[in-house]
Amino acid sequence: MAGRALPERALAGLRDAFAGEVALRLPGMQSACAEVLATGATDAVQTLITHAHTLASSAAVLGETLASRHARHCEELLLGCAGGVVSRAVATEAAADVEAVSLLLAPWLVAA
Amino acid sequence: MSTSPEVPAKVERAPAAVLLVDDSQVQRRFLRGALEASADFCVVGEARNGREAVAMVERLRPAAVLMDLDLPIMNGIEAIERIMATRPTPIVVYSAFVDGENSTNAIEALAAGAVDVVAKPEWGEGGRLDAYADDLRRRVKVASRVRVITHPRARLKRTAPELAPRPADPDAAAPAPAAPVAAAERAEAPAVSTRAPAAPAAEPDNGHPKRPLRAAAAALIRGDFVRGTGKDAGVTTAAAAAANGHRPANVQVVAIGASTGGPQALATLLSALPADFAPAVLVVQHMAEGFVPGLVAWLDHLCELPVVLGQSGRRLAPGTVTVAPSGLNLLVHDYLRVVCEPAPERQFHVPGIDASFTSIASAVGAEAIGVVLTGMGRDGATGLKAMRERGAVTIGQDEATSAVYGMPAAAWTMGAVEHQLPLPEIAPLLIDFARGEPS
Repeated sequence: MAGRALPERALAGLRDAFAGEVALRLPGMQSACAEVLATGATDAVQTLITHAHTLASSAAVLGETLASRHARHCEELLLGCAGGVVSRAVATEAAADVEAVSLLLAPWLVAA
Repeated sequence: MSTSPEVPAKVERAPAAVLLVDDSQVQRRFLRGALEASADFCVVGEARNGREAVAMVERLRPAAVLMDLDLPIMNGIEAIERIMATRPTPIVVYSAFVDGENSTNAIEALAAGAVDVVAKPEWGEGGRLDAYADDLRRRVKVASRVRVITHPRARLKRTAPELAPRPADPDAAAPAPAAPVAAAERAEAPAVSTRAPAAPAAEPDNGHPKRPLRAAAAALIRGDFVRGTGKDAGVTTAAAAAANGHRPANVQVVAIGASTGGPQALATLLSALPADFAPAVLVVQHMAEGFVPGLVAWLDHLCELPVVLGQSGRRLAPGTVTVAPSGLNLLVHDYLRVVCEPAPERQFHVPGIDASFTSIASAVGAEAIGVVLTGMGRDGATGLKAMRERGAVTIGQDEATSAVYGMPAAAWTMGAVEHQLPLPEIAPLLIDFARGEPS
């Protein structure tokens, strides 16, 4: 099948969508992370996994490779916790990823 | 009668209707853009979670579904199971986890009925996103033409890798809902497509000891294919094939090639081979980069035989299933020594089935059996022909049980196939031939 490049208009639409997603997901990720650090609640862990998963995938599409890696690392860390029980060490490591993602994607908040 | 010259009308295909399933708007936008860049596709809906996906498949009846696995409300695996149980539709899943422990999720999706799995898109140098979009369109196009069948959910649960306890599992004694075709039935069925001259009849295979749950799992999967078979003409049975084809004297290697629909077909075939199956088994499955280790782990769980990933410098081991790694051609040399090497630039599928089969034709000759299973395209046909010309027994999966009757059809048309069989009949024939001389 003959391939065709994504048109610039489509890429602009992707950037807009990503800015919107960062504006929605990043605060959610930070809030869930704070709760995981404070209480280790499994609901918060699941919320953090979901936000990290989505941001990791979206950031990869938009070329935010480093942010994507941190988000994916955060997701994998938490997925690896049996029964959703997160140790203090894992929560701290995940929080470092969340902080990195926050810093790397901060410019997109302005764009939104 | 009209005498005017007949000009064949160009067949215009309607664009394939595709449903997107992802909770990320970015992903949905990208996927929509990627697909609709070609007139071959029309995105008819976007679902944000598994539950919406199930409802939209029922309502919109798309030709294919493109789905993330990690979804809110209802996850991707459950959504696939529900869709395949109620409105079977070709599903392509994409996953971020292409290696490591979490890659088994994607393989679980294949076990649940998805037809293909691709990695998630990543921005890269030189417009790799466009290359990804090209590959995605190709895969979705293939998937939209795949014939899928009902996959009852309750039965699938038992094939999931996490259900580890096998011999002692209380479910082990449960009867399989779909019994394998009885040996007597096999023996009575007419042989209509065997090409080789008649040989002395062998006793039909009457089964072999298997771990009960694995046997059940095999029968469950096999049952789906048997139901999907319907009235089939032009195929034969294992017993009839054994009676009519030539008998290999000393089978060292069974080489199996598969593509679209392959993981499920491999599970059916390989889980029916007993622990004392002596020949080395080589599997070449077209699969996206990174997912092969997950396939190996999944098959290893399902099968009596150990399943390992192929590596350069090792040998194909008797009684072991070796799976070709992705990104390289696996070639077999003298004494079953394995060499994994980069494919020629123009080779479309890597690992290549033709490459492996051709090397086996040279190294093993008549002491091999070649099998081409379901898949799009032509890979495997030339290699199988080479094997047949060197005296190997060659088998092709029949149309009725193939998710995509492309590769087996190409092999059949080329005269590379000695026995064309329904999927459930292939393992019994392999077992029979592996035993050596007829008793």
